[in-house]
Amino acid sequence: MRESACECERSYAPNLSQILHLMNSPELQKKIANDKGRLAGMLKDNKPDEQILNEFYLRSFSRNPHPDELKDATAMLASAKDRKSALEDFEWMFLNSKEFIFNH
Amino acid sequence: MTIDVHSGGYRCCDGINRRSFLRTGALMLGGMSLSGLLRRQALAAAAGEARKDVSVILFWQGGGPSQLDMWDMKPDAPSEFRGSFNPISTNLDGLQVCEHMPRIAKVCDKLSLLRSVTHGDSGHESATHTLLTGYKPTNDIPANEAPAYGSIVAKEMGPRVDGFPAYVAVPTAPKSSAAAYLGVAYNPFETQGDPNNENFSVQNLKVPGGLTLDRLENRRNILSHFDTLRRDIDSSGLIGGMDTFAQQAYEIVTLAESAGRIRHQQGRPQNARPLWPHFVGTKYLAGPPVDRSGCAFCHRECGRLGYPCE
Repeated sequence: MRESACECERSYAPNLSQILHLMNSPELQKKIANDKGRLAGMLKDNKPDEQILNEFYLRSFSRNPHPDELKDATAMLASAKDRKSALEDFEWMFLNSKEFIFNH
Repeated sequence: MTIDVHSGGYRCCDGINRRSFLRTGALMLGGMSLSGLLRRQALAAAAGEARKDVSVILFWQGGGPSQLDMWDMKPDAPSEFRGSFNPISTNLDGLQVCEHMPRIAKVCDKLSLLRSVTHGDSGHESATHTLLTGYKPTNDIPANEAPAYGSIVAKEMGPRVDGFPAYVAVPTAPKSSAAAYLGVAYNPFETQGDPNNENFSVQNLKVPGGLTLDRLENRRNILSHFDTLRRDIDSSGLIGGMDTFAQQAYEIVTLAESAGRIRHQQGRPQNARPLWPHFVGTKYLAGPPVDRSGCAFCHRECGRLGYPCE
């Protein structure tokens, strides 16, 4: 008996399950908030917001942020109640962005 | 993320964006809850507004039992054409089914049996394409060249409850069950697990520990501000489809959270399961009514090993 009709019947087009995983999975959230993660390391090294954002842009989009992007992002971070959570939210944004998903 | 670069040919469609926009608007009117949605639909019904309502479950027995052993015994055919089982009479005069379906035989007056649906194709994949889309594919191992019925229902009718995927596949969907040129937004949502399993739940519906729905919304706001990749340079329509998925994903999570709260208040176990079309195994057909689900079209895989229909 065949286990499945044919592997070639599987679809690899983007789908809702993938987006749900990126948006809402405990696995990804654990990685973002991990004590030994990239963000935690940069916070431990007392890196300023600007440098952390630069690092995120390079690692996810392979480019530096545009000046207006950096201005908006640092302003949002400066007004945040909890800096670490706010930076986690930015990290999530990079992983869920079309620029990351489609270009890299 | 793996993206299929071979099938191509997807086109974005106006309808997607318009509907997404309307839903976004509705969500912005202050954290819509499931009860709110149902109330709105009830009000619309009371006001006499026509509401399209489609509810289809397709039991897809790919590699399943032959029609000669189930619905069309051909008892008068020569022995080399007949199966090894015997026909039995049903509660519908003149209709016989296989002796192994005695309970089906008692409800045949409720069924419509189409014995004229046939094809002369012995290839699994191409025949699957023909039967799921109505079009014979141009290749032996076809891509999804025409939209499947569920995708058409998803595009034309939408879900039965706002926020649900209109078209769901349990547990997975064959390639031909997709939307083809209607765009990936109308592909089926695959539940992955089998709802007949006790531990079944749809993955990633619950907001992960340490997060709240408010924070998820905040993340989406950041995303919409900073994710500015130009949509118009994407002729494949994939990016438009992804936008729709992101909106759907957020709506589903919102629905699941509010439904979880409602159940929690009622003292029932917190679990996203009842929102989902878990009735799609035959063992549920006699149980919860179909209208418990928000989807309009459910593709149920049941012929393959590991996903038996009980």
